[in-house]
Amino acid sequence: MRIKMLMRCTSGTVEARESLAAASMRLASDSGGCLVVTDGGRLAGVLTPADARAAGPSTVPSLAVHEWPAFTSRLTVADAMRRDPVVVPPDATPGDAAHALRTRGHRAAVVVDGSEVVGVVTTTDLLGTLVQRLERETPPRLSRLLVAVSLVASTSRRCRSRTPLDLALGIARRHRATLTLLHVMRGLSLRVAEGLPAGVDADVQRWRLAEVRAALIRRVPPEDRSVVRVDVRAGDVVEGVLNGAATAGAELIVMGGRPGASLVRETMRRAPCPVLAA
Amino acid sequence: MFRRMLVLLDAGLVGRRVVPWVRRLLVPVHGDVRLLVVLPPGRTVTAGSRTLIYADQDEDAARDAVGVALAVVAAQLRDDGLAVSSEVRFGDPGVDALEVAQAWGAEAIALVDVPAHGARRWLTRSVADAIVQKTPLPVLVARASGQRAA
Repeated sequence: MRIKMLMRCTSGTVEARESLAAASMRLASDSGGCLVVTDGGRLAGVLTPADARAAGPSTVPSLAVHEWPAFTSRLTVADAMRRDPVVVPPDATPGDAAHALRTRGHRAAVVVDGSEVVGVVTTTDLLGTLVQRLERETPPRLSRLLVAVSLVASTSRRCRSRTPLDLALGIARRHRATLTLLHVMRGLSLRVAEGLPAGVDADVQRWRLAEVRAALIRRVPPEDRSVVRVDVRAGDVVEGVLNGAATAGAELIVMGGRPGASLVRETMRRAPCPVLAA
Repeated sequence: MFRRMLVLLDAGLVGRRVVPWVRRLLVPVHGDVRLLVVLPPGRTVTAGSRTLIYADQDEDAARDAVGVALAVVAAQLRDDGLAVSSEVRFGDPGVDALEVAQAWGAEAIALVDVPAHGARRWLTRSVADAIVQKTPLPVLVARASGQRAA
């Protein structure tokens, strides 16, 4: 990878004596961009949005709002720019550019081919390369999955061969992810699910809850139980799955059910993360 | 855990939103991806008795336009070490996706659910619904918007 592959076009060139307010407006229209500053046609510096902000008045000032324009209109690009910019050739490596920027504490380098400015490269661009390299060395993995399971034997065509739990366990093993095993019980008092007493039925319902938890954990092979968390909720199934996914911070929901069932469809439409209908 | 996944994309490539998730799922297993775009069949355009565009010309133009964007997606996935192939078809996405999945031996299907709005929401079924209902394979469904990024 060379800088010429990574660089971006500059947001433009400004003269050092131009108004900083006008230059800031140009920067604002191009997120992440920066301006190359010239002085009589010579490369004089570089202006990033951070430089422009740093030269402006403090954000906790004694100035009234109407006094800000008067203050900033007096500033020129030369007051805010980084003088003596980092200059790199198009064939430099990202490492060379990053090293030069880090050594001199700059945020953007100007790419010059001979005597012509051909682009700029910012710390954000270099971070992007670093992220790509890190991801290549360590492939992205899923870290938290949620599988919604039913205790009733499913008649789904899919489930005959492989249940959603099998599929979720396979993914969790491969990704070394934690798996939340969620079951939504109809008829369970919300107060019992929350661990609070609920009058005369409380003992019966607590017993049912314990039975369900035990039944769910029995479905998980012993070697996988250390990465599985059981979550039993009461009430509406879709709401339970969505809340369970939000609580667990799930990156993927695996759920079964009758193909095309409204529960699966509704969950797909409202889920905070993708749904694997298994 | 599946390794071969059919990724159904659309003409505008809104479906690209599911690609990062496919990547996360399949990179650790060095998976195999087939990108499929199913476009509406080409139409012959006539003006009076003159034919301006034949259906096959219309389809070729659409195939070329989608092919460029598809090549970019494929290149990104190949960079991550996945085996990628791509195909552009003309027809019904719900039907063609199932045909390709069966012929290619897909172990899962990935797509983005683009819900219809207004009256169409009640009159028609989304492609995602049709595929989830008909296929025996696991289907990974992401939403076009409002969902966490991979």
